[in-house]
Amino acid sequence: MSSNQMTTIVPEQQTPSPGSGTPDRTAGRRDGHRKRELVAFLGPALGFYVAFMMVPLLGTFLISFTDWPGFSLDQIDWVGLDNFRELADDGVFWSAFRHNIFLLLGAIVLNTGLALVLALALDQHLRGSSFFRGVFLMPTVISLVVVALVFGLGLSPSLGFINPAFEAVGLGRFAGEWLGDPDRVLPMILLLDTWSSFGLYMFLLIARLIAIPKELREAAAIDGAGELRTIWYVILPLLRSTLTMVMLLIAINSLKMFELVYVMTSGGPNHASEVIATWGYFQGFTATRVGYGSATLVVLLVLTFILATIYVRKFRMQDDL
Amino acid sequence: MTRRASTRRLLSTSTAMLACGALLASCGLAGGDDSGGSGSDEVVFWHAFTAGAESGAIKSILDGFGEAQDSYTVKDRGIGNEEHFTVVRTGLAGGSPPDLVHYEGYQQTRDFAKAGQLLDLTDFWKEHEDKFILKESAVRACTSEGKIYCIPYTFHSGFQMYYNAELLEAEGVEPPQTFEDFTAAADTLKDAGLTPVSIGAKDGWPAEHWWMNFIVQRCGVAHVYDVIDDKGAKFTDECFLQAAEDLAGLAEAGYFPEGASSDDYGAAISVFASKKAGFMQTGSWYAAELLETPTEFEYGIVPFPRFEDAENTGDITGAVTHVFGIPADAENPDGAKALLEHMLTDESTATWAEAGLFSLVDGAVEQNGPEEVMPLWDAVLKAEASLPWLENELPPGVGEDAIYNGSAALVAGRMSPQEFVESIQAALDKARQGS
Repeated sequence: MSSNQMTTIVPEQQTPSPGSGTPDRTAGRRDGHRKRELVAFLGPALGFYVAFMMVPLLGTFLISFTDWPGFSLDQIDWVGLDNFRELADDGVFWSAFRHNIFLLLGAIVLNTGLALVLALALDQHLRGSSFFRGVFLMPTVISLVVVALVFGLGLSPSLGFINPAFEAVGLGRFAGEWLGDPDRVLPMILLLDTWSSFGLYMFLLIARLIAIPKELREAAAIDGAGELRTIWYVILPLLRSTLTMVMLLIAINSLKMFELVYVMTSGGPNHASEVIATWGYFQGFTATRVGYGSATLVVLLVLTFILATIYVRKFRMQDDL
Repeated sequence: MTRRASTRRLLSTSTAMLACGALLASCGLAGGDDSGGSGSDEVVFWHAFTAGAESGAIKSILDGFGEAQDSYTVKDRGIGNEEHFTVVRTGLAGGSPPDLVHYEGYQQTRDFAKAGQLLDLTDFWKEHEDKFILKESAVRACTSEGKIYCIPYTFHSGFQMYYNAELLEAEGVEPPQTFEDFTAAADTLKDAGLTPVSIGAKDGWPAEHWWMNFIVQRCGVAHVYDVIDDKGAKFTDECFLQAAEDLAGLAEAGYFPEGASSDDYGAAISVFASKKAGFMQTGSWYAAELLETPTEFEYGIVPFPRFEDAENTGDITGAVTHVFGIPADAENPDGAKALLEHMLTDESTATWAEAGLFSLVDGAVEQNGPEEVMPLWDAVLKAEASLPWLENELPPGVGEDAIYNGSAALVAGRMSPQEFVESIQAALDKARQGS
C-alpha cells in the first residue's frame, strides 16, 4: 500500500434486537426527529442568511438591469444590459478595476510572503515566539475604519507623525505627500492592508505547521538536510494546499476592499485610488444612480464569486484527501 | 394584458420588492425605533444637526415646542452630515419616512418632488412668506415645477476669509482688502516659513468653494445660472477658465500646504486652529463654531478679497443650506406643520440666530446675532446676488465628481485649468444626455 492510500473503516450494520419495535417505524421516527432538529438549529441562521444576504444580493442583481435614482420605487425603469454597456466605456470603472488588480496581486505577494516568513520563524519555538504571535495578530482585530482614521491622520503632511519620523531618522527625502500623491497612494493602501491582515494568514499557516509530524523533520535531519533544505523540500510541499487557500482568501478580501479606501482617500486624489467597491458606492449612494452602482457591484460580485468557487472547491478537495 | 406586459409587470414588481428589501437590509432601516412613522401625537423629525452650535440650538427649539403645546411630542433623530442624505433618501424610498425632514434643498428638492416624496407646501409658504428675507434664494431652494415643497430656514455665506490676527500682526501684515493685498500677505507669510492658507481639499468642496469665489467675480451669478439652466453658456467659457487659472495660480505660488489634496476639512481647521496657517476660507458656519469653541488666538474675518479688475463686484457665494420638508407618506403632517410653525416663531428664530446661524426670518439675525457674525450677515444683505454651492444645483456626477475631484487636483497642481473646465463640461453634457 502506498503511503497516501488510506483505509476507511465502515461500522458494521447493527441488526435490531428482538423486541425493540418495528425497525422501519423507529428509523422513521428518528428521521423525523432529526429533520425537526435540523430545522430548529439551521432555520434561524438560514432565515437571517436569506433575509440579509440572499435578498439584498438578488435585489442588487435585479436592480443592475434598471435605471433607478433611488427616490421612489415607482421610478424603477427596466433597461436591460444598458448599465453594463455603459460600464464598458466608463474610464473610472476600468481605472478602479486596474487598481483592484494591483491591490490583489500586491496583497497576495506581500501578505503571503510576510505571513509565511513569520510563520516559519515563529514555528522555530524561539524565545518570545508566543509574544510575537500575539503582537502580529493584533492589527487583525482592529477595525479597518479605525486603522484608516489613525493612519490617514498619521500620513497627513500637515498634522501627521510619519513625515517627522522620517526626518528624525535622516530619511527626510522620502517624506512628502502620501495619500495625495497619485503615484504613492495605492502602494500606501496596499501596505496598510497588508499590515492589518497578514497576522490572520500567519496564524493559518502556523496552524498547519503545527500539524506537520515531527518525525518528518527528524527524518530530514538524519538524512543530513539543513534548516533551509528541510523547509524547501519537506515543509513547503506540505504547506502548498494551505498556501493556495491563504492566497485565495487574500485575493477575495482584496477584491472586496472598501473601508480603507473610503475612509482614507474616498477614491482620490482624482480617482487615483478608486476601487470597484467605492465607485459602485459613489454611483449608488451619492450620484443617485442605484441601477448603475448595482451593475458596478455585480461585476465585483462575479469576480469574487469566481474566486470563492475556486476556494470552496480547493477546500473540498483537501477534505477529500 | 399580453404575456410580455405581464412578464414586465412581474419583473418590475419583483425588482421593486427586492430593491426595497435590499435597501432596508443594507441601511438597517427595517424596523427599529428611529425609523419613520409615528402615532398621531408624535412628530418624528430627522435632521443633521448633530454637532456644534446647531446641535444645542435645535435642542432648545424642540424643548420650546414641548413647553408651548400639549398636543404633540417630538421624537428627533440626528444623523451625521455625511450619511444624512443617504438615510433620508432610503427612508423616503422605503416607505418609512419621518414626519418632518431636514435636507439641503435645490436639486434634492427637485429629485424628491419628482419622485412624489414631498408634500406640496405652497399654501404654507404663502401664509408665512412675509416673514422671510432673501426670498429669491429661498424660493429657488424649495421649488420644483412651480410648487414649493420645503420651508427654508438657514442661509450660509461662503464669501469670507478667516485669519489669524496675531500671526498677521507679528509679520506686519494688514488684513487684506483686495485680492492683490491677499497675495502680498501670503507672500510675506510664506517667506517667513509659515503656511499662508490652510485648506483640506480631500473632501472636494473646500477647493470648489475657492473656485466659486473666483467664479462670482469673473463670471457673475447670472452667467453661472445660464450654464446650470442650459441657456447657451458653458463651463468652458473664458471666465470659468480664468477662475480656474486663479485657483491654480495660488497652488503654483505655494500658498497651500503640502497636504492640501489629502487633508480633509477637519485637518484644515486643525492646521488653522493650531496657529500653523495665516488664512482659511470657509463658510459662515465656522463663525458659529468659533463662538462655541474659540481659538487660542485672536482671529478676524474679512469679506473674500476681490480682484481689483473683477467684472462683477456685487455677487457673493452662499446658499440656503437648511430646509424642512414634509414627506408625502408622513403619518403626522399636521404635527409636522405645527412644529414648523413653532420653528418660525420669534423665540425659535432668536435661538437659532443667537447660535450664530443666519435665520432667514426677517430681523432674527439683526436682533439676536452675535456681533462676531454681523459683518458677514451685512455682506449677505448688501450682495446683489448669491451663488449657491454648485453641487447643490448640478447632478452629483458633475458636482460631487468632476468639480470636487477636479478642484482638488487643481489645488494639488495635478490638473491644468483647461482640463478642469473641460472635464466639468463633459460631465454635465453626459448627465444631460442621461436625463
